[in-house]
Amino acid sequence: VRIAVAEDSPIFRQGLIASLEDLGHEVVGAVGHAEQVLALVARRRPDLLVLDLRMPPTCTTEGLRLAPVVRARHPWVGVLVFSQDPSLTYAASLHDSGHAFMGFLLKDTVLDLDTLDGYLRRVQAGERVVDEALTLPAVRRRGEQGALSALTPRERDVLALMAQGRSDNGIAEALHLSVATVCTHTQNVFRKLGVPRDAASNRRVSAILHYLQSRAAI
Amino acid sequence: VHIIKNNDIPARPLPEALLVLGSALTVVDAYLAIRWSTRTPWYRVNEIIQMSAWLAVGYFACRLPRRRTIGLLMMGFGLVLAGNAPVALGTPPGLAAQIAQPVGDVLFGLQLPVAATIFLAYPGGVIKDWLDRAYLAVAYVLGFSVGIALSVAADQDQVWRVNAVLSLITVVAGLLLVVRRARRSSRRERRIFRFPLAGLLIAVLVFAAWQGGFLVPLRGPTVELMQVASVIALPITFLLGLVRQMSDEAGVARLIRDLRHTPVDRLESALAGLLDDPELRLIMPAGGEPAGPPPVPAGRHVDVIGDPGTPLALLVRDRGLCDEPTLMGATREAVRFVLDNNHLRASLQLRTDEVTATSRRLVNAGDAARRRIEQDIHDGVQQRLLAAGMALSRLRRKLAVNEELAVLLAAAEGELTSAFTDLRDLSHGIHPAVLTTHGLSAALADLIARIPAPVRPDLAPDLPRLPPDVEATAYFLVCEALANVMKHAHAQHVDVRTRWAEGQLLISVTDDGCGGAVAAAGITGLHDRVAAVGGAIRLVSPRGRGTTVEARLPCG
Repeated sequence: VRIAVAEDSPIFRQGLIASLEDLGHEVVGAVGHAEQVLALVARRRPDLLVLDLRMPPTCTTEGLRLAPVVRARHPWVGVLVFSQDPSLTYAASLHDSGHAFMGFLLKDTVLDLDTLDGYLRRVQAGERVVDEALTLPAVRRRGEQGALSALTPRERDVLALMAQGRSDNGIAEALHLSVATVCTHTQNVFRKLGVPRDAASNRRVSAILHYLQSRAAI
Repeated sequence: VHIIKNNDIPARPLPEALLVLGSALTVVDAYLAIRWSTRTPWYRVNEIIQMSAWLAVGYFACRLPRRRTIGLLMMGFGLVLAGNAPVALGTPPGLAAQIAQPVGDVLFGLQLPVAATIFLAYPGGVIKDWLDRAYLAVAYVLGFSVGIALSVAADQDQVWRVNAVLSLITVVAGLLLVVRRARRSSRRERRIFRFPLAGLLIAVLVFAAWQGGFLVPLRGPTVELMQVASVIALPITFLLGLVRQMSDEAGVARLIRDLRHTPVDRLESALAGLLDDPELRLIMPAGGEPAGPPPVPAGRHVDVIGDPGTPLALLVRDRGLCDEPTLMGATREAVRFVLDNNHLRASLQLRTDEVTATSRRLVNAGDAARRRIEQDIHDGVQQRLLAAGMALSRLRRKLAVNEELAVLLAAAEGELTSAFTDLRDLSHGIHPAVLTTHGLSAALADLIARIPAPVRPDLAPDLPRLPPDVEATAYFLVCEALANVMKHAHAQHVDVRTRWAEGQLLISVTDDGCGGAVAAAGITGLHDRVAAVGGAIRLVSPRGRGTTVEARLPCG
């Protein structure tokens, strides 16, 4: 996979490039400033852009702003946003744009290169991805209380995978179920949680994330 | 600056002496009126009432503060009348007649000048105007001449005719002077003069009718009745004028009471009303600059309030109020009190504002420091830990490791991952980036989704972005409250609520745990923080019935 890296910290950037190369990918370019990203993507035409959330000039949420722009201008480029902040808000915010080929990962994913490689390939395959380290605590914790107590354990497994951005096919694969069964489960989850039905399309991830983050926010 | 003198009644017994003398003469006159007089009963009653009225009113005036001089003049007029009365009433022939006749005649001539003196000296007892003085000098000379002429003249009728003309001229000239004085008087001076002027009008009408009687015979009960009226009216109206002034001074207490609670911006109008001086101006130095002496219009007087070097204010008011030093002294004190009070309040408010602003600056500085530390951790040590972790991960993949080495590597990676997540949580706790980028609701929602506590969020959907210090205060308040719940409360549920109402952020964290919480160090620290942004915090924790932490943060 041809990968471009946008990351302002040189030490992390070097480590990441080396790791990606170890995984057998080709790093076609690396920049450290948000304003250089679009030029890099346009020039190098990578398959995948690994984008840091906080970059100069403001070091706030450059990644969230850039990702949909890159996706809109270069539909063949997948975007993976790395964040150090364990914030469902950021994850939901990224997927609000509804684009496929996008993922939101916590930076410590890089500590396990096999997991990282899995996420890279899922994004490149056109999935919407959210780091499970971010969604699992929310699903598990919610499961203990009123909000998610209506779900069966199986439906909760399905919800956890939906929150990570898996499609019905992906869930079926992961849980060794038929797609039709998964489809029934996902419908049940939407109905029981009261998440709007139209969220079952390309904004399903962001709807689920918003739900997990706070019912008041939906 | 006026020095208020103590207006005690003088101890000198002159009024008493005059009263004794006057009373004695009145008794003699009454005896003559009853036993010897051939005059009409009206005339006799008039004479006695007139002298008694002036003596009594004059004596009473002497007892008023600062009215001794005018009182003595009024008593003097009573004495003149009493001394003249024997001639007018008629005396038994002999020695009494021989003494009474010339004394009475001379005193008769002095009646008009003394009366004029009272008018022109009223109410202060002092005549300052040169024209008034000249007029009086002429009046006294003429009066005295008439008196002497009457006492020595063979043909008294001739003198009476001359006297009638001179009296008329004297009265008219006196009236003109009174009118002139009224025109020059300030509003308040005219007000005090109103009563005697009314009395004077009556007296002049009657006097004209009476004097007219010598030129053209005009007699009858109407004139007699009018004369009685005038006899009583004149001294009474003089007294009323003086008493009116006294009642003004009695209003001093009310004035001070009213002024004490008057806001500074309404002080001028309040003073104008209380002192009955619509043109009164209270000039306050603007911006600490002492006001220069203002132009003083005619009939006005300037009082300096406070230290003359650095006056609090200048009071431009009716000159006539100078005649009431007690009233003005009290007024000055009251105004000074109000202005001093206002200055103190203002400086106290300023100090309080400064303290509040300082605390808020400190809170903001603290928040800025937290943001900087978070940024530094994010950019520095976190990246290094991640780089180290990646190196280990790559190492594991590259080395064909034996089992023992694999265990060691896995342990090292585990430690490193834990170190990274600990550091991430610590840095997030110092300052969550999402609070800066997405605001309070998002930060609270993230917090609630992350922590292992049974929280039911109920966050205001309409919450706008608030000042950073308010958002941070609210966020850390909820953090602290939730941390306490998790540590101590053993709660089944915690409700976190935010509401946005009328520019105020309301936050509450309520659990159904064991209650009985006392304000711990964490909450006390928050108390100061909340106070610094001008808010209030409340902890309610009855034993066995849960705990509620409530805060109200203004965002004006």
